[in-house]
Amino acid sequence: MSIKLMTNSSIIGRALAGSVSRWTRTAATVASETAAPEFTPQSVRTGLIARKKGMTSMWDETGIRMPITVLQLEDVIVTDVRTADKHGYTALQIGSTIKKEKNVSKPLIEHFKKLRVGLRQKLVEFRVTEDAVLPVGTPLTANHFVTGQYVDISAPSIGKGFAGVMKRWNFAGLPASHGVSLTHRSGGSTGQRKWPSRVFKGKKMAGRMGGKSVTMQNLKIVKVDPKENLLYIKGSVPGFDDQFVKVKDAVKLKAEKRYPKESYPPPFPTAV
Amino acid sequence: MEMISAQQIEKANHDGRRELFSRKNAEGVRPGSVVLVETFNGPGEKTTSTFMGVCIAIRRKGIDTSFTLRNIVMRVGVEQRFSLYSPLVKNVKVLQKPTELRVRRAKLFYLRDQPGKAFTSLQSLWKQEQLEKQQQK
Repeated sequence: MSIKLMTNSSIIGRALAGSVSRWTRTAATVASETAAPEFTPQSVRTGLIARKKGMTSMWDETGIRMPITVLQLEDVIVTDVRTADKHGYTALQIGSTIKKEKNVSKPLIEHFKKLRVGLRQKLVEFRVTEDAVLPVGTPLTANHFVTGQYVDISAPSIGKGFAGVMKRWNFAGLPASHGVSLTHRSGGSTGQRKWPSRVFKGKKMAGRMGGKSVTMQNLKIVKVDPKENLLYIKGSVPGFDDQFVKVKDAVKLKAEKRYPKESYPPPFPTAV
Repeated sequence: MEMISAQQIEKANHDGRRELFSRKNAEGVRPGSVVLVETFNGPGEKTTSTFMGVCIAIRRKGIDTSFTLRNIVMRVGVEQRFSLYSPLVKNVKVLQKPTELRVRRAKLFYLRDQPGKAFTSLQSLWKQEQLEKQQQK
């Protein structure tokens, strides 16, 4: 079962997508398949997992150069559905990047067997509204996002290790000469004297920097390549190359502003 | 990513710029060659401005390849840097190849400290270009 699904979600996937969803429809217990859900300004679509491939640049029609980050979708499918009555909230679990059975622990293999989907390396949940729920096994492609729309991208930032106070908090340090001994990059004083006779909590000091989840909001999608499943994002994206990033529709923009007028409403719940 | 870079260069290479800057091209642009660049004045305009100068640096970064031209304009040294695949760059022309003996470096930043004798030949080339343009019209 799982092997058949892994081939289906590869490049030929879209052609066989009909057979996949037909199979999951009979196996799963989705309520109504007849009416396609309508996009409302309050609906929240699912997000995707992509891999950061690198940066390049493009020129727009006015001749201004834009730095571009390229993200690629690798065999992204819906692996699980969380429903309000069973789990207490509505969400879709999305999986990305096929993994070989020999590289996966037994508990994980059983988990995927129970869900009856192909093995995936990275699993992420996205909260959605009830009308945006997709059946298990639906392949997601780059066409889910529209050229010209705004997205939020989250990823762990690049780790900087144990960073000093000048790098971590932009402290100015101390002068390079004039008698300063051995403390050119230190933080200086940490407080007052007799009162309050302690250092306040949250005092900016040296420590581990980076490696935390960072969200960049309102990034524009400049181009969508459905053949290779690529998203061209204007600007930079947190993380290093080949990092898994979460791409969602921009949360702070209302639906009319989020998508360009020609492509409103967007493919809902997902493209094809 | 290399594939994307190659794709982008293919699209932007509508008038053979990539071949002009190829390392294998003997007639191409090299550090020390005299180059003439025509650029559109604004995003939608058709009017152009020209700049001619000695190529002192070529920065090869795929789609972000750029080159710097240096010239002495009204006794003031002027350097201008052009993005090769930018849509604002109309065309790039080589006016004179570098002499083999003179140029032994990839980046000719030492010309900034030199008195300016290297740029005297550019004036005659400029006049030649103007004549040719008038003849074409």
